[in-house]
Amino acid sequence: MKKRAYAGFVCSYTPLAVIDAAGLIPFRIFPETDSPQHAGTLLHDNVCPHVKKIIDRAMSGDIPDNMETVIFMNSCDAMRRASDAWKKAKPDQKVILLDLPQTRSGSASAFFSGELKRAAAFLAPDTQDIEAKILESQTMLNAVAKKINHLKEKNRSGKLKNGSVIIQKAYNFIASNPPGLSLEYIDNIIEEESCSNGSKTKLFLMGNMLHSPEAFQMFEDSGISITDDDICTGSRFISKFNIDEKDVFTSLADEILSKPPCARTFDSSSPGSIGVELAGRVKISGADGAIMHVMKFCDPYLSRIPIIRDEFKKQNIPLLILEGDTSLGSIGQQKTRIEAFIEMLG
Amino acid sequence: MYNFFENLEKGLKKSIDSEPDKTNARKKYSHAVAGLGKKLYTENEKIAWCGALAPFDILNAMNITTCFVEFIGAMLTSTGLGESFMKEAEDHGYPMDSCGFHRAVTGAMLKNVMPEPDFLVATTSPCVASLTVLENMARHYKKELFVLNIPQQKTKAGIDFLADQLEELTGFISLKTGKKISQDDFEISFAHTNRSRELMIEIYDLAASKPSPLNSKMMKDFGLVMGLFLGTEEGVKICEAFRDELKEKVENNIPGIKNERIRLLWLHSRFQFKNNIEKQLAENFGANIISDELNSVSWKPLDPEKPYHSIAKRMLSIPFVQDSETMVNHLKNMAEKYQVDGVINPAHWGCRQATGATGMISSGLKEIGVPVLNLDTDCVDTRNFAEGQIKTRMEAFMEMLSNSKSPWV
Repeated sequence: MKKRAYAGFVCSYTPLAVIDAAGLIPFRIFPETDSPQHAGTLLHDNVCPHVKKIIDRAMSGDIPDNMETVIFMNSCDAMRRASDAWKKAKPDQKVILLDLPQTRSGSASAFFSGELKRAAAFLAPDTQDIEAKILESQTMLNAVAKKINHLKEKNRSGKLKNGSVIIQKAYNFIASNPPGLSLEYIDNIIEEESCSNGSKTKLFLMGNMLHSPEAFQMFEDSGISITDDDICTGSRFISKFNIDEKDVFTSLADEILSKPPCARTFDSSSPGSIGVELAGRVKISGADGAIMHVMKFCDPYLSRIPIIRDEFKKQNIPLLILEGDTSLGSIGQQKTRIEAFIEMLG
Repeated sequence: MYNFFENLEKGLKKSIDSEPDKTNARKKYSHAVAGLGKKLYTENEKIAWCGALAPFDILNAMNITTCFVEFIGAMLTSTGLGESFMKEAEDHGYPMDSCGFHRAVTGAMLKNVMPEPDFLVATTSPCVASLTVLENMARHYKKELFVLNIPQQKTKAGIDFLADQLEELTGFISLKTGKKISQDDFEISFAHTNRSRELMIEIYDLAASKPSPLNSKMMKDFGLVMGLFLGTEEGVKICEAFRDELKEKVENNIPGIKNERIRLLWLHSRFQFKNNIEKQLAENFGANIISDELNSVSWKPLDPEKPYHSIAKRMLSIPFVQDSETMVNHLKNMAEKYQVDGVINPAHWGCRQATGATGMISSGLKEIGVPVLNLDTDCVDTRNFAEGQIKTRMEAFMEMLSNSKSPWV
């Protein structure tokens, strides 16, 4: 039997259910590679390290052999240029860029629904009854999201040793496996892991990309337990979506646009509300403070840092802002600051 | 700022009036720009801060005084005040890695030297950074923000989506101002826009003459700033002034610079602070900037019977809205039209949209034998502008071009 092919993706707004329904396995192209740094020959060095590293991977062939398609989301300037650069680096691959509205409205949902249909036709031109299959895939993904939440709950109550690491590993597994396998993977963790995590400082993690389990191990080793997160490689990438079987594409579009937004998506009727929203999530998670890890050159976050910082100050929520390049090396350099932050929290 | 623009406007008016027979299009253009600046700082004007791709024809037809935020960043820099405003923004936590145009305008907002808008209209293209600035301004001034989501694909779905939003925008403006846009308004506004469009095509064709009737400064940033005057009689007059001046020069074989030897295309934005690079290029190398990236017309005439779809199509036809391949092909066409020997790309620090395609632009133009000089620099922040280094690199580039065969022979 022929092995299912991968569909590469790079953004947390990617419709995983459409990939699975098309009979493909999602493969998240993480910005992690030993490839030479030559993305600058297509882009520029002041583009974010996420985009540069994935293009390094494409240029060096550091991707699975059976990955014939890649989905990009038009989420920011760097990402749309990444789509162009990928086509240059891998001219034989099928690449699609889906336009993703930055604000939510009736017309935005309708338009994005069309984009999801375009994605389905691109990934699975011959698949019959694609809507039923998307519904089925999303049901599985919802079960995955539920189990992740169960793991988080266990971690928050101190019953998951090294919980931050385990949860991030689970996210990474989900990112590159079919939902059925992801369910089995998390079930195994839930059965196996149930010992105390000791007394740790509870922190909320936010920002954009941080996927390395080693980085989370460093948090744990520094006495931190991540109670919840708002990052592209964490909770923002797997959410429970309610799909209306009578209008699968529109309801999926609406749900994707309604999920907790990254900084590039916002509510235009409430400008600058990202600070209030994140502060609220920190409190709900029971954290004592928050770490914000922001990639260098990420405009959506960089220009919102002052708003977020001011709001956290107003609400007396301790906040540590780290800038990095998504690698373990860059977060490792911040260890002293992280430890000082914990000491400050007492 | 009001006084600054008023004095500038008065000075330019005096200069134009003192030589009524002399056609000096650039002075007339600068006079109009100063007039717009003054209006922005005039009390009781209805003001909207916008993204660069906002439909200025509609805004002008609805009597809104408007401009895009980068324009203010550029103006502040040209007056020498940019750095102090950028520092203000940095002191508030806006990093130096972000775009200087945006930092300058953010600093001006924080120092309360920006006129308070009545509302804001953001566009998701050309860049995400502009959108975030407008979001921050909306929050700061507690004013409503309308966001135009501009898709990259120029498909029927993309055009319909944008057209619907444009119609919604006019409703939004009506609510803010009490003025509704009528069919007559569209007819008048689009007649001006279409006339300006015809003239711009004529202007760009004349600019392509050999030798070019332009000098490097004459059409600096023209295409971008002209957008603000679309739909107005003033816009038509500015274009007529340029067309007349260039036509006269071409007919009388008057070159823009003496001994034009190197013809250049400039990408993205010129340096907005005072500098003598253009002068030195002309004097030392006979090098002339014949066109800027945005000095082109990529859209069809607007149809007042289908106003929103017409404008949506225009917005989506702008090369930098589209994918890099389309953008590079557009630049190749420009290089051929203007028969340029080389391209200068001031890879403006902080601009992911423009610099993000730097490598692809270089390799694309190389395919047709046109070399590109990529400068790692900043168009507004002099702290990121290493003058000596930039001059050395430009001189080396000019020497290389001087000793190379023209790609068009």
